[in-house]
Amino acid sequence: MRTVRIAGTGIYTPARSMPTEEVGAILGIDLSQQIQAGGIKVKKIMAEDEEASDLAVYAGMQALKNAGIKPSELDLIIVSTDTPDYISPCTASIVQHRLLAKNAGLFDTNCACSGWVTALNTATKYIIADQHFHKALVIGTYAMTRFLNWQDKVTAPTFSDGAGAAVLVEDESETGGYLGSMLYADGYYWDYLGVYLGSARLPTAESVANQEHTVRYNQNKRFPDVNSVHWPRLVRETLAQANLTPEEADMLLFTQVRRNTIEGVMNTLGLPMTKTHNVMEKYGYTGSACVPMALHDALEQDLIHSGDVVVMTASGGGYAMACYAMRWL
Amino acid sequence: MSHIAGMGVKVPDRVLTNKYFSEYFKEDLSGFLEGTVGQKERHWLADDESVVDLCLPAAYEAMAEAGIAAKDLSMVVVASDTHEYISPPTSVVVQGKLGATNAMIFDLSASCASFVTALVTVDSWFRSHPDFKYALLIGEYGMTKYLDKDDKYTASLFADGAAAFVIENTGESIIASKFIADGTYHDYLGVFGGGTKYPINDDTLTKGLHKLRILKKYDQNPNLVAWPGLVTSLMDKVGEPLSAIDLILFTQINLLVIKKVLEILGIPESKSHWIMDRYGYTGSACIPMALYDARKQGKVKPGDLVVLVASGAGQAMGAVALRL
Repeated sequence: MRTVRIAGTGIYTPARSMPTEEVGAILGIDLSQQIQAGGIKVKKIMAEDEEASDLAVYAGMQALKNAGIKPSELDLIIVSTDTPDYISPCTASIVQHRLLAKNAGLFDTNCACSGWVTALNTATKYIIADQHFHKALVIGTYAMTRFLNWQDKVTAPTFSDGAGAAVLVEDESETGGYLGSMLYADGYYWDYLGVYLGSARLPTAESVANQEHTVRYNQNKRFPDVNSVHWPRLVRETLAQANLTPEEADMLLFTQVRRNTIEGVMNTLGLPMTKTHNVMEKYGYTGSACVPMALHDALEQDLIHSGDVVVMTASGGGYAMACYAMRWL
Repeated sequence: MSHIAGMGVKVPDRVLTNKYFSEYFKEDLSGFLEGTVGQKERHWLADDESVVDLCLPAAYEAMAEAGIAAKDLSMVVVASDTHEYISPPTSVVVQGKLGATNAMIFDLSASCASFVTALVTVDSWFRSHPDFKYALLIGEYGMTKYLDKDDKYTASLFADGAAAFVIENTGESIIASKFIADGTYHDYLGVFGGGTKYPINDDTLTKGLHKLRILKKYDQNPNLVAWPGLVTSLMDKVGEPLSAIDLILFTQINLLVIKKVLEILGIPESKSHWIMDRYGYTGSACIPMALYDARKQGKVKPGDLVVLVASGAGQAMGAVALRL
């Protein structure tokens, strides 16, 4: 049966690091409790002359190298981001150019921080649906420090930059590959958190002075803990599509925004923490890049093996959630 | 195949004629606008309107024709490069405002090829998800928000609009699709400021980089170069001759180029259709707007073989063949 496997992964994390404690000291607040619970110990900040496409290209090159695939073999490049280089054209066109992936079609997708899992799923659908698609590069790149209000006590310590990528290839395996996926969205929350200026709402000197072009949250509308509610359900329903239960999953990766949430979800699912893997401690919170970064790190540490059931679950502002399961080949 | 069960179009109320621009720039622009690109008038968003204001009425019209409610949707996809916000995506705003609580969402951006690319993407999703019954796919364009109103060429060319399709998952796929892209053109035309390369700051605003800019000129018209080969290779995949096409629609940027491409392909002009005369250039919305208009005028009927050919800056091109 026609299915897919991940042939290689890659990441890029910027050189500049700042301990989260230090960010707190600059803001004049004590973040020790937040660091303890959330696990984000560091802030990774891209250089002045780096852009979202740079992070994406470096992660993409590493993924191609690990997959042993030449850029010219790619049929499709999908970049998932809500921090693109430009408003238009899409970041994937810059990546295609810089990788010299001249045979690849391209587009960006955006569903905020759930974007990469949705893009991986989209590439999966393309390869399964159309035999003309053989190899796809799926990149999540996150450059949210460019949109930060460094004076804001909530957002300034949280967001980091980084990129993660995977090369997805066709496979005829009878024993593994894509198992299932679930998606969930609730646009009721669209005005809770985002970057609301700079697109169809054009910036003015006044709105920029008011920091309206930065990532902002509604003071009166705090997100309920939707991850704890929906992640266990999405994991169960996704695995059920392949007649599997959570106990049969070997590695579960989640959006790296808060370690305590992940611990709670693993507890709800009745699974030990050894079956998940976190990277927020060393890479910070990297939005649409964090799940492939966690996947890459788990592979580097030899935590995923052939035959393992891998489940990836992501959440993004607005909000949108995506869950994807595959048996590793 | 993925069946188009409903269509809707919404353009802003404000109309600007060629005369308006000729007077504004104190130069007769009608020769270029009408003679070359084929435009007579176009619609612009008002200052207090944005793209979601176009998406919602277009979506309601499409859902009414399909006879479905928002809760019947499994996907809401918005195809565009002129989004409501940087983040979250426009699709999640539309999903929330429609109350399409059973729908997954994403935005797809491939400049003006976004809609055709997204149509293929929705079809690919349907093939793995027989449980998905309906998708709402919207192509929207709000480029006048980014225009330098004093730039003669771009100010008169770009317009706003949105078109929505309700696509039904009937278990069969679109017939064929073909993508080609060449990212070496990524820095030719675009809205380069406002992302991570030129973030919004005094420097970006002073240089006007948050507006639509043409930084490099193409040596040749890229559509004239690529479209004939793109259509031919698409029809090779379909396995039918060019003469089997009942209706072929192109990105509505330049009427003379469209006519030239039809001539090269040997397809009569009567088998194409254009809307730029009334709506100007509406980017990622122009192809579904053209199909909506063609159907309204009786130029296409159920069962017809329709080919959609789109080009976007950057550059990305996509073509799709489907049975209406």
